[in-house]
Amino acid sequence: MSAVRREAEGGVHVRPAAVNVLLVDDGETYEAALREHLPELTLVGPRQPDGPAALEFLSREAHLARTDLVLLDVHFDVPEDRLLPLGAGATPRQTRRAQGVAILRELRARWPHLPVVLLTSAEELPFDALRAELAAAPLTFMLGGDDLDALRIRVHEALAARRLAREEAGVFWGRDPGMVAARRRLAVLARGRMPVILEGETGTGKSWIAERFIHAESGRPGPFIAADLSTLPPDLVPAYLFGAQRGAYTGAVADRKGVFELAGGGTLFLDEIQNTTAETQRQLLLVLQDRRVRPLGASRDVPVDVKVIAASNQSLAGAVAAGRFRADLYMRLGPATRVVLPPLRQRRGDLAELVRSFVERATEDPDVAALRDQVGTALGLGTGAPLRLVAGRGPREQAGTTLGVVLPPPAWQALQAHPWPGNVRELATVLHNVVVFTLVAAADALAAGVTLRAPRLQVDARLVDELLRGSLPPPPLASADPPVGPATPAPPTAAPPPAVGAPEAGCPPRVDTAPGSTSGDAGPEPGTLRVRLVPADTLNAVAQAVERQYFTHLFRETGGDFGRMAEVLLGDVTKARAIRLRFNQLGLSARALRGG
Amino acid sequence: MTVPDPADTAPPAPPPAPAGGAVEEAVLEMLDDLAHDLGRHIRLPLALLPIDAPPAEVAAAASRAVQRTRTGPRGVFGADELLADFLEAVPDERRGDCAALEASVARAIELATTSPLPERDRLRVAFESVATQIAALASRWRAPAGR
Repeated sequence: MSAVRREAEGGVHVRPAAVNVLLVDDGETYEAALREHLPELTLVGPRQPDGPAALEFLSREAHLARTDLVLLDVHFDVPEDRLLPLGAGATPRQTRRAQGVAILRELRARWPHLPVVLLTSAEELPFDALRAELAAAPLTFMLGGDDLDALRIRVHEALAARRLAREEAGVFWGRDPGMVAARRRLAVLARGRMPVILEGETGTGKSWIAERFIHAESGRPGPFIAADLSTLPPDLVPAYLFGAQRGAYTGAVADRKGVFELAGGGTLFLDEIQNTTAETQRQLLLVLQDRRVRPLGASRDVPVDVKVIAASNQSLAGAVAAGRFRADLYMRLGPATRVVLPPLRQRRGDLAELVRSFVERATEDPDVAALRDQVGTALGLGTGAPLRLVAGRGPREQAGTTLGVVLPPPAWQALQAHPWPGNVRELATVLHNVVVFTLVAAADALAAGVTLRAPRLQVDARLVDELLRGSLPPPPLASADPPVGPATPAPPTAAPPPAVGAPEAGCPPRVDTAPGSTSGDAGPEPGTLRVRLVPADTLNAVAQAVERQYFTHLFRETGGDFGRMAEVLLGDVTKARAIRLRFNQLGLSARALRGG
Repeated sequence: MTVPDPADTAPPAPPPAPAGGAVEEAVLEMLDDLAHDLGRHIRLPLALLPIDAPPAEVAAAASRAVQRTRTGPRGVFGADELLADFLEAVPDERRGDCAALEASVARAIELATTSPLPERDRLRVAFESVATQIAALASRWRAPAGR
């Protein structure tokens, strides 16, 4: 059992492990208190009396690896030559009084995962303008008081936040109170067979959390099976859910198991359950009550041992009130097990960390990695240089082995102001495209002989505006919501996984996807379109499958010239960027297509 | 020296309108520094003690609070030195405004160095009174009539 889970369950007291802290403070008061009264906090080195000393200390890998968090004073009464600049127009006195903020900016830019506790409170900050900046800074906390308990609490919060900000069962939870509360409840609800109602807007990560957290934490040995009931014709639902014996209906040429059996011993994720018909709801109620299913054509029931997660992008209670959902099924699922995932617009405090993570993980897409390597090699970094998001006020010099992606303030403001109707899924897509276009622009410039003085790539704020304006409905990931956070093994443009895990599941196949997708399809013949018409996908999925094939065809016809494609598709050769954007959104890969 | 004990009195009344001329920005900035160097740091050693710290540790913290109030690359300064530095910059016609602050600092030093040491809570109130008086002075000097 993990320490995190112990906390969530409460009541289990464990002695906290020693925490290694770096104290950055020009005075000796906190140092004395740490040494004398807080044995659980161990100083990783001598107190660093100013910003330059602290940055030099942390720049050594051995020091950084041992540092769990930084305790940072704000007011530094140090000589002027030891001050980090605060900003244009700041006097030395002002710079001293807010020196901790200048140091914090450097820490955030260089080591964004390192938690920082500022040894001050918001009320004591010397300039009001800094409060908003510090409030938005990820993994940054301020003391709420001057006593030892305030320090202990903030240290605990900072370490917990870092733990959650990192990958935890593949889920980024962040600091938002709604997500923290959801995680706490789900950690409890994951245990046992009790059903869970998971509500949240499209793109909030319901299926990702269902699989990566609830199923993973449940400890159940069986598989995780996801099923989208809303897209099935009503007459196929019984066979899909409960299975069918050979000859049960026309076309049933072999016995097939339903998803309840396939998920035996594991977890069954019923997506969009609010869209099921009254008959389907009735059948689901019976299964939940009896824990038995009878395949079509069979003469005996089959016991099932399944943990059901019912997901909805609307309030099920509201659907009950409106007469669209059976009250008895809702009660059987258990209103007390209802957990709501907040939309991204309500967790803006997590936005900075999400943006950073999505940018830095963009290279998990092989196409992006190839672009990164192309640029990195031209800049002398070689291949494999990690991408690092650099805030607008980041350090001028990037650490030697990383490729900085500089997000200017207008771009950041645009991201903050966007309503994110597609939630984290939309954010992931937008940032993936931001990285792609930025790398392409850099690669083009380098190929044209432009010399870049530092390995820092400036994101065009207009590009961000354009991407946000053109943000389209998310690709048809019908059964697999994208991640809640950056722990995404597949990039946003990856081909959608099959609806059900096993091919022999008896589940309807999906619409053909792009060449090179998991289907192994080599793509349609040139000049033809092919869509396997099966009743398992939304109209949107069918439309996008056609669109992918048309783009693929055009790409080949034009030799990968997006300008010519734009001329064909939009009648405007200058719209190449828009076409490239849509190309990416469709999950197509120029590299894969060029490679055959 | 006997001085009024701010801890035994009610919080200071809202400041009356100052009688002197405008307070220079430089002095106001020094007052802001004083709020940090003296007002905050005189409280910290005691605040950072465990609630059940033995009397010897309380005495050491109290002594540190007034004698090593502000430490750093520029040196070690006691509460009286920090106050004296500030008062040097205050125009003569404004010195009267600082009487309550001077009294609170003197009281804090007296309590922190007396024997036997007063109760910890009394020390805490005395130290906090210094910050309160600095804040009151800043409020007074920054009021529209004070500029």
